[in-house]
Amino acid sequence: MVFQFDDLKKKTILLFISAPLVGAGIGFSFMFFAIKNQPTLGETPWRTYLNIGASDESMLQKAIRTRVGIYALPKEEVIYFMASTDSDGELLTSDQRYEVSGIAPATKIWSITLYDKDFFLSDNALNRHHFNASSLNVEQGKPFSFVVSSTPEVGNWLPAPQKGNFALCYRFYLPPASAFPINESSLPKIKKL
Amino acid sequence: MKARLIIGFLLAALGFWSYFVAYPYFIQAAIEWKISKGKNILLHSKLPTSKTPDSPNPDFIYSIAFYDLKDGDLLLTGKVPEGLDYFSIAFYGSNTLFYSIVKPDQKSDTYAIRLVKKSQRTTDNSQTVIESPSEKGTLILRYMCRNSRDLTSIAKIQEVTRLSSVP
Repeated sequence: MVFQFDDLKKKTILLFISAPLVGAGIGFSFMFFAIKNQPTLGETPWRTYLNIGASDESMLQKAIRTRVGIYALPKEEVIYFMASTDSDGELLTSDQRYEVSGIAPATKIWSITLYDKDFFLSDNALNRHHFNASSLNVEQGKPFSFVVSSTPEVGNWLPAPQKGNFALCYRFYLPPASAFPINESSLPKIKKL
Repeated sequence: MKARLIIGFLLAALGFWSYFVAYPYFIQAAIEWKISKGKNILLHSKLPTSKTPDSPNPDFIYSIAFYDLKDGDLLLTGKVPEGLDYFSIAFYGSNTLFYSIVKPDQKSDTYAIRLVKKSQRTTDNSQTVIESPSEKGTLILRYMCRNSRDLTSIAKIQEVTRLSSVP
């Protein structure tokens, strides 16, 4: 048997190039799988991430945060809740109308913003992308509601994109100490109409 | 064959781990490439008068700078906005990670923040000093804008906010 040095060399070079690429590809898939399957808070449609800026964040957590919330602030400044489904677990879509309702939280600064499927603000004729305490004219501890729909609505209407899925981001600024741990039942409901 | 399999597995594991380490740096570079006008230049987001959305969060008007401390410390100076519900200056390392935040005293008229490399601590106590864990990074000013009065106030403040080299 003749030793094929060139053949061995080629296989080794191929191994050194392909193996890290395969590993990176698995990393890429793993990150998106982890984002897609991030658990919601109990029975609510909301997901949150409270570890921003913490020293014990893992590399995976850092990469995920870069993907879904780059330049985010730590939880002492704002708590971010994201929902891409309604309260029944179905994806939010422009084909449906939704009512978002809840109790105004114990901070005067909060908002609920609509993002399109790529997490950009969606253009609309009203130039309206969110509701907050002042635009809903609601005081702390009082109930609020608004409708999300791609077609105009009477009253508090948050325009959805003309097509595709979308997501809502509930921001709770300067949360008081009493906001922790998160009370899941205090989070707004998203009900299909 | 067995040795090659083990080496392949180790290299794949290295690629897997490297992906997570590199990803934030890659995104930071992509954002800089897209919006930066150069290092240490303070950029102000457009005021939301256009119907074209240009802000990641409509609660805020932003100012942002991609900094580089290679040539020395930087000084951020500005006027403290009056009557805004929220104003902060947040600092992020070269891998997009948050490391510090300053919320200037609302009782003061102005603020001055000195940004230094972590290895070059300053003994100057007259300014707020932020130690950057990396030579490069990002600083973001967030002004909460609720109404047209806030908007006017923020526009004036943006005009007098400066990021300059410390001589």
